[in-house]
Amino acid sequence: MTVLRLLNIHTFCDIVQRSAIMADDPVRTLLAVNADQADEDDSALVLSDDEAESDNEGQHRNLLDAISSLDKKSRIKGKVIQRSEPSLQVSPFDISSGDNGGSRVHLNELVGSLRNTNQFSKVKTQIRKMQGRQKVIDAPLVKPQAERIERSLAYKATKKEVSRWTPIVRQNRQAAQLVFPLQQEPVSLPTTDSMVKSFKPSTDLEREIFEVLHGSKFAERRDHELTEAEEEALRAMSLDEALSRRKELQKMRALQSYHAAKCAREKKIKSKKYHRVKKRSRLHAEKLAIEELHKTNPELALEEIRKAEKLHAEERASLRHKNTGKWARSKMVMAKFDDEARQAVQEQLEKSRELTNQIRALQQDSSSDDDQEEREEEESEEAVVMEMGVDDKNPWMRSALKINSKSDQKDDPPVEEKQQLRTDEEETEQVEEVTSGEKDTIEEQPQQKHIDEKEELEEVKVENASTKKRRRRNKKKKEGENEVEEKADWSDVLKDEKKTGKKRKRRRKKTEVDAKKSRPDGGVMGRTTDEAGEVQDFDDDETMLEEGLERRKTLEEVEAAAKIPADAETLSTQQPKVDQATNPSLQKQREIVKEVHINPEKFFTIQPSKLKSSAPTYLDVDDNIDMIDFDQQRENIEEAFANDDVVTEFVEEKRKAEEAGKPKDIDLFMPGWGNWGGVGVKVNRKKRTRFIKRAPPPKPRQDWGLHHVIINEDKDVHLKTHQVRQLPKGFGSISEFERSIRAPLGKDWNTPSAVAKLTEPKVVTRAGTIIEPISGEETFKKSKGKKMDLEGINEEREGGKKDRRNGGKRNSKKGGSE
Amino acid sequence: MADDEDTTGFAKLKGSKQTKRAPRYFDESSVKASTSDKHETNKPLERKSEDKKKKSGKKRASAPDSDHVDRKRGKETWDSDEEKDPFPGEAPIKEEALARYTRGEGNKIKIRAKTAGPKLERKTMEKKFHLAAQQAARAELLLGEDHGYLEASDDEDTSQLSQTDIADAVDISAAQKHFDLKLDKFGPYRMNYTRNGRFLVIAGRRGHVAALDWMSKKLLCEINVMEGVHDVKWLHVETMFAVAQQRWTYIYDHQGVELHCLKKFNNVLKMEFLPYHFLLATASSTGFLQYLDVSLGKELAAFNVKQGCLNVMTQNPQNAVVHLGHANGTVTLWSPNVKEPLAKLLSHVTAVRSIAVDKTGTYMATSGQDRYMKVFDIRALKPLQVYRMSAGAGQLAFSQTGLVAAALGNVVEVYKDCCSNVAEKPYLTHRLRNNITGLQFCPYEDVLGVGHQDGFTSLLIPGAGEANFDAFENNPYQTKKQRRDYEVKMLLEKIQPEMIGLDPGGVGQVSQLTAQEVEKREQEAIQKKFEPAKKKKGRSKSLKTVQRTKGVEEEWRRMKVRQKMREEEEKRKKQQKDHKKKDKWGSALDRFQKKEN
Repeated sequence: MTVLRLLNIHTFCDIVQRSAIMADDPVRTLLAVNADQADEDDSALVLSDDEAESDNEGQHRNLLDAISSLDKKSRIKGKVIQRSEPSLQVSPFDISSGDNGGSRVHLNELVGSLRNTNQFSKVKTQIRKMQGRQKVIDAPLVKPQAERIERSLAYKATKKEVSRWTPIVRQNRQAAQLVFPLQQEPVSLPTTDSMVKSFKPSTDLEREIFEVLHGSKFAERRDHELTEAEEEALRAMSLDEALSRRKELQKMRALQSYHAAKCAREKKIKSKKYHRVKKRSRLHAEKLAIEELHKTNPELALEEIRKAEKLHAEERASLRHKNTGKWARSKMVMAKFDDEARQAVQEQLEKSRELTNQIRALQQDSSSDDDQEEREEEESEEAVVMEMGVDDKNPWMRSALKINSKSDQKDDPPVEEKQQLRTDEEETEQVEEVTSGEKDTIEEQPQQKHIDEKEELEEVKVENASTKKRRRRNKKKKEGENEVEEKADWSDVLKDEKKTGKKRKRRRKKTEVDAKKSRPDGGVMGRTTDEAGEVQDFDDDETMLEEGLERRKTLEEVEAAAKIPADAETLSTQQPKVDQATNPSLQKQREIVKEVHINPEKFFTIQPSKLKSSAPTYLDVDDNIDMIDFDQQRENIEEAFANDDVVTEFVEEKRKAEEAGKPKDIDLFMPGWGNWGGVGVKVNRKKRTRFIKRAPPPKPRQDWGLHHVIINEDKDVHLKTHQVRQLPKGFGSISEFERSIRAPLGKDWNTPSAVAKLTEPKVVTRAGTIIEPISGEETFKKSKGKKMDLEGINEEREGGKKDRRNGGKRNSKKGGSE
Repeated sequence: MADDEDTTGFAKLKGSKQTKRAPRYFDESSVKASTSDKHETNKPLERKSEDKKKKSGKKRASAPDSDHVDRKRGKETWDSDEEKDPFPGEAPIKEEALARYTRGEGNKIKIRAKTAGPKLERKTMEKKFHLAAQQAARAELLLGEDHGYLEASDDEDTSQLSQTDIADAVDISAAQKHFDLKLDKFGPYRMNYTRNGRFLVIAGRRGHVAALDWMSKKLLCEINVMEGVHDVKWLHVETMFAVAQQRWTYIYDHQGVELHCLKKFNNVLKMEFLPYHFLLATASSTGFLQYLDVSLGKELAAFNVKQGCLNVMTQNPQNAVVHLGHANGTVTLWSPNVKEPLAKLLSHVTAVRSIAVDKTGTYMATSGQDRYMKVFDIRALKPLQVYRMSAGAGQLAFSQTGLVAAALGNVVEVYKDCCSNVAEKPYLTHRLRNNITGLQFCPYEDVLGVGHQDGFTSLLIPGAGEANFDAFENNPYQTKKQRRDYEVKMLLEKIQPEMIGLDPGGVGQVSQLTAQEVEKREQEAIQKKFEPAKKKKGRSKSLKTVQRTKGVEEEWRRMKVRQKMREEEEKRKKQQKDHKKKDKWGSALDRFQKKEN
């Protein structure tokens, strides 16, 4: 029991003390009595239990009485108050028990009587205040938990401290060059600007001049156009003038706002058609304007045309509108089912065509005659040839099958006829396209189109596209009605020919296929026909009419060429030409020509130009006569045997090289495996083919298209030892790496200063200087002075980024480094 | 700057419409022009002085220009009291000059601030490259000299001018460069200039070999090897030259002392020296192409070309590829690393008589017995021009400025602009008495050396030589000490022969695996064998190990197949998904379709 009581006393004291801590001294004084008593009790109890009992009993009882008398209310109400103070006597009613932890003694129970007194006002106010915030400190946390919190706090603080360094570290890491020691006194020379600013006139004369220059109204000012005096004069306008001016301004403003509103409204219009129409009209207006300009100001017009040309060139160069993009491809997939998608794709193509044809269109506008058109076409061809920087005679540089315009004009049938034939061809093309459009699936279309475009690029074959345009657009048709009418006449005449043309084409294809099958060397020529075949298909007629015959020799020869391909050597092309226009064997010839696979013209295509060189003369020097004679003789013999079969040999060699370069199929078939074997047993072909491991398709050869060249495809093994084998780390692609080492660094290729710059070391240390480690004190000295916060540091970082070269210097002021 | 230079000599001549005048050699007899043409006339002297100035770091050429600019600027500043710079920023750079030094497109590097590191470094390098190109383009200002050409008036033709006309018109020092060595006893002659154009070696068919400083006409040595001589070539410096004699090839020094006899190199007809690789390439009558590493004295490679006698040979100075011409009209391109020709080109239908390649490695001119001369773009291997000549050119030569000289029997003709454009007539012609057997333009001089039956003739061809020389590369005024330093430097910077190829930039490329190599690797991966661990208690008997091995390998194979199947399945699913995505807004009727899965 005593122990229990003891505990109670302790808890009580504890409570009192805690509250005392919170309320400071006054309470302590008040409670001192109780506390002391409790202490006494305590000590007494500690000393001797039984002896002290009898002594204290009386006192204690007194105290209890006194206290109980304090609270009269409760007594009156007859409430049982549970008390936690220790008592030696255990009442039978269990009024007070030691371990009734549930209810506490409240402060006002102890000092509530103060309310009734007038004294202790100071204490009372303090108690009142104290009661307002009766918060008690929590029990201390468990050690590990407390430590954890401590650690995290410490981490935060340290992080903050360390993070101050990050911008500096980054700056130093990213600096192109660091010169140690970083603390270097910045040397600055006074600039003229600063000199001017700090200038103060000292002598009388200087002062006078200074005043004139700076003080006067008439002096020019830096940022103003007018002097002060002039402005004043302007300001002094009459009232009428000012009013009228104001009116004018108001009107202008109103108009402006109307216009803005209109524009905004138009901008919101979502109709595609509206925009299309609008754009078209705009383009049309522009075109007209250019025409107008052409008349009035040719220079400006030229510039406009140049702009258009640039656009044209860009279009040609880019893949835009070529239906290669993601969108276009997706549309292509959809096109099967969706008419709109198809239309969209076609529109794109048309747009590209339109753009690529722009120049011609421009030119066409300026002239209306058909002859003119013809001429211009040729001109544009020539322009292309000129663009490529070569003589038009060189077929390597100009399009492969294009006409030699000059000679055409001389030798070919009159222009009209030619045109006729051309239109014929055009139309056949159209027809074919239409039919193919019906037959072929749409998936094939893009490919075809692609080829079309290629050809356009190569040959600047414009008229084809333009006719298509005509066909599609009625408007345009109306514009060029004259042309169409003219053509209508021909088309009537040529309808039959069209049909034959179609047939012819089919036949040709057939023959080609046949030839491919039948030829043993189909591998070589097969490809050329495969890939060049399209081109040929497209243009054959034209070439036959315009170029082929010019080049080709007599019919017999061509036939011979078909049989012995290499026989047709073309260097000696100056031979009598067949009058193509009237030649009845034209068709026949064409067909034959189509079967020619090795075209020696591909080897020696350039028309030789004659040099006015002087012929050697051989003087009669006796000593050398025999030698010269021998030379001459040999030369004569060689010349006689020229065109031997050098070309055939070469072709054969090339074929072999190509054959050798191809990866081969591996035949793993074993007779008798899984089947009956022996003599007379037929092997199932399917089974056999199953065992053949197909080789991957051969890579395109470097010398593809160069008929007179064989390039060795074997890799140079020796070079490999010097090459980089794996892409170095950090490079996205091989080309990226190769580009990064494209420029030489040495002094043989660069100026000395450039070499110094290119090879500058990352870190430079001055000889004989001590490099101190970076100190925070120095580094953040200034920032502290300015009371810079984190933002300030950030700003500095930005600055550092902008001017990395000054990074070192900036750091040096602050003494920062890693 | 260049324009300023032009106005002093060249343009002035044009304006006065005087004929028969080479701007560089022209020495107007009257007093008035003598001052303005001074630096044109005394070219060699002036070159020397310039060379000296180069060392001291000042350029004479830039002086007048800077004066001009200063004056202008000064005036500007006087006019406006503002401190505005009338020419703000850096001086503009000519675009074409910049294009000359920009080596292809750079990488476009985007940087996120935090992930900078190596990317940032690369970006700064790109900037530096650009800066270097700009500076190099700016430095073109120092190339003050310009090679001029002869200009004819309307009624005249440059090809009608004789050598005497030209020699009469030019100053004495230049006129002295036209001379004739009459050596009719031992001809016909082959000849060769050193790379700096200072020294000449001539070799007669009948054994006469002479080396000389041709400008001062000082003879270095003169010997008779008492044997037929087919060809002669200087090695890397003027102290050594190789002579292809009847049987073997010999190397002599400049005093005529025999240094080496190369018995492996027999029956050599033509030689070429590749200066950066220290390789002497020889073509023999037995049909062998051989390479000698001169720095090591070892035969590097020997190929049987299988085309018979090899008597037409030249080198591409840009990529050190050797070109051989053959009797069947083909030209083959060789490197010492590959046994087969790098490329084969059918250029004529008859035998090829001569080949020449220009110094930039762009054009190749070939001539054949069929009396054609053809010009090819050797980079694309495509023909550019075909010329029908009065005779097949026995010798062809390119000058540093792109003139082409052709020897038609006993006539030398020089053509201008015949590669990219069509030339219609020769620029200059010169008729000799006898058949021409050797032809070479002298580097850095407007001189064409011609070896023939009667000896050697030096012709003046205005505009043939490069006007601005790089003394670090080739110094025509080299002293002995410089030569020694130069030799050491060249040896240190020797390019390994493995780097010879059609594309000289091949070293900078990443070597990629060929298809065969990839296949081989895959095969190897498949064939990796399982090696069973040893087990005890009789469980490692041969049958058991074999069984175990088979089992494991089978399992491997299965794994591979499974993986492949998985991949395929994934791929298929992905495709399907994509397809679905695409078809998401397909036809409205699609909803009635039967759904998969």
